[in-house]
Amino acid sequence: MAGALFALIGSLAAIAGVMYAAWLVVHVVLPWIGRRASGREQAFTRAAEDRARTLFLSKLTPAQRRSWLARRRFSVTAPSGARYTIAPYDPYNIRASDALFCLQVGGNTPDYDKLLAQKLLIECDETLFLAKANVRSYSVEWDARKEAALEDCRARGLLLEA
Amino acid sequence: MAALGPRPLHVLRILDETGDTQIGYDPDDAAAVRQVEERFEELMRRNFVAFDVSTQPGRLLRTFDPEAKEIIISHQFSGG
Repeated sequence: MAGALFALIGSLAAIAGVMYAAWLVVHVVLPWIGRRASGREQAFTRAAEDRARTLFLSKLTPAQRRSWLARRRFSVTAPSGARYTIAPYDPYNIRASDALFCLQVGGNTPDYDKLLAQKLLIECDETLFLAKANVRSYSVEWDARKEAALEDCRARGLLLEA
Repeated sequence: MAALGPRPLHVLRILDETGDTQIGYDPDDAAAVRQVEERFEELMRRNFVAFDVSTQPGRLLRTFDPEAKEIIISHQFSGG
């Protein structure tokens, strides 16, 4: 009788162990692999995050800072006059009135650094931004702008690909 | 008439895993400028991207500009 009871307890413990291992795989291991695969591993110290946030906020205009702090997004006006809205760093976090843009920033840096880099690229060289970003739009106008940007950046030697 | 003091330090910021690494240098110190320029060029060879943010609007830098008061250097960009 006692043996059967111990066997039952052992079986239940084994089942619980397997279920816990499965939970770990689903909730810990797979998300970690996903972050590594997308280059989004967040291994930053609190100090690094704070430092990046401070620099990011210091480079926003007062209006951009107010907008970011209130709504977690801000507008950037490019030299052409086009306005883009930047939301928290993610795929396709940049939008115009009729298009979405995906611009990844390389390197293992806090997201605030990546947001700052996105803002600077749009403000300093919109053509390079358009050449680099993936564009999703219903408007064919953006296809033409993207092609023109690629041509311009190739002519300036800014793109590595042939 | 105000006396002319030393020029304020220029700064090169490299965005990295610590948030950023800041290198301040005296623009009148030729050796310091050369050292920073070498660091800049090394990063450009690794396809980093540099912005002069001391002007409004800022500008993309392809070569080191010792007159730029603040330069921010980011890793390269790619489409998602």
